[in-house]
Amino acid sequence: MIKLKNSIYFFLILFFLIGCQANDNAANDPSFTKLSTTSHNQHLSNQIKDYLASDKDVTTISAVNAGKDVIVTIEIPHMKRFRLATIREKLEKDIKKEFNLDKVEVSTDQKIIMELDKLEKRIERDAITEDEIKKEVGRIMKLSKEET
Amino acid sequence: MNNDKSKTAEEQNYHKLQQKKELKRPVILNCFKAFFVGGFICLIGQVITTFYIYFFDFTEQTAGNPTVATIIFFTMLLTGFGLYDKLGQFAGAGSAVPVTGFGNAVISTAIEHRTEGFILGVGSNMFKLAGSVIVYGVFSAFIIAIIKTLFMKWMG
Repeated sequence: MIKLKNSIYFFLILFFLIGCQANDNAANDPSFTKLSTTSHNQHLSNQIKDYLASDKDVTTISAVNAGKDVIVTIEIPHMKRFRLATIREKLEKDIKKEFNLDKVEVSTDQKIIMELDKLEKRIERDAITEDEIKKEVGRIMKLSKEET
Repeated sequence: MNNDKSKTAEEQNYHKLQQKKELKRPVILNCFKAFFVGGFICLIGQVITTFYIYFFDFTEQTAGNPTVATIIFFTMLLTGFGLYDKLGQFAGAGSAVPVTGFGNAVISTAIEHRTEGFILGVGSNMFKLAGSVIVYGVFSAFIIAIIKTLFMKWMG
């Protein structure tokens, strides 16, 4: 009786632990959409996306720039989240150096990712003016710097 | 037992018999209960965090504060209605370790000492148990911060 109970627990633990390892396909290339540059000047963020695309640590990228201010959000494979802060800082430094920029914000925060996705979609649909982009980028940058 | 010599033979026999008949504490079962109930409380917390991130202007960084407030508010209700006691009996550490346990410790003492008045009763007894959580929490945070600072200095 005790053996049966113990083995049930054993398998429960086993399944729970294995379950964590399941869909972690890190080998894929990062996914991102290049924004059309016809109406808004998003060349810089497209270049940054291309630059980050070769990185193995990144699964999805979005980026929006207002002039020379850039916000980049990345998602990384789940098992690499232990080095989240290190990866973020390294990428920020790399981008600043590569493109010679001062104001770059690399974020991995879920909220920033959501907000930036919304902004990208609005730029894609051309439902936003240059001024509004500037305002939104400023707002999201402020949000990403908020601390508890 | 190490003081066997002071006992008579009869007492020793009884001790053996008692040990044989004594109910064993189901440690592993308790661990599982604590694990699942504690995990479930954390799941609820994660749902609330996600709710705040999606529907309000909170980032992952800042969503923690309103989450803790919400969870403690619900714990207050559960404690007041006497439901958290039952959960605590069932789950043990699983209900005590998350922040809900802290809330429960504050609120239940506040309820208990209400009859002694607000100043000498509620006010002075509220942090009877929670006070030690705060003291040792702050103290261990201090120690860890010192260790971290030293490590950062040495390692570069």
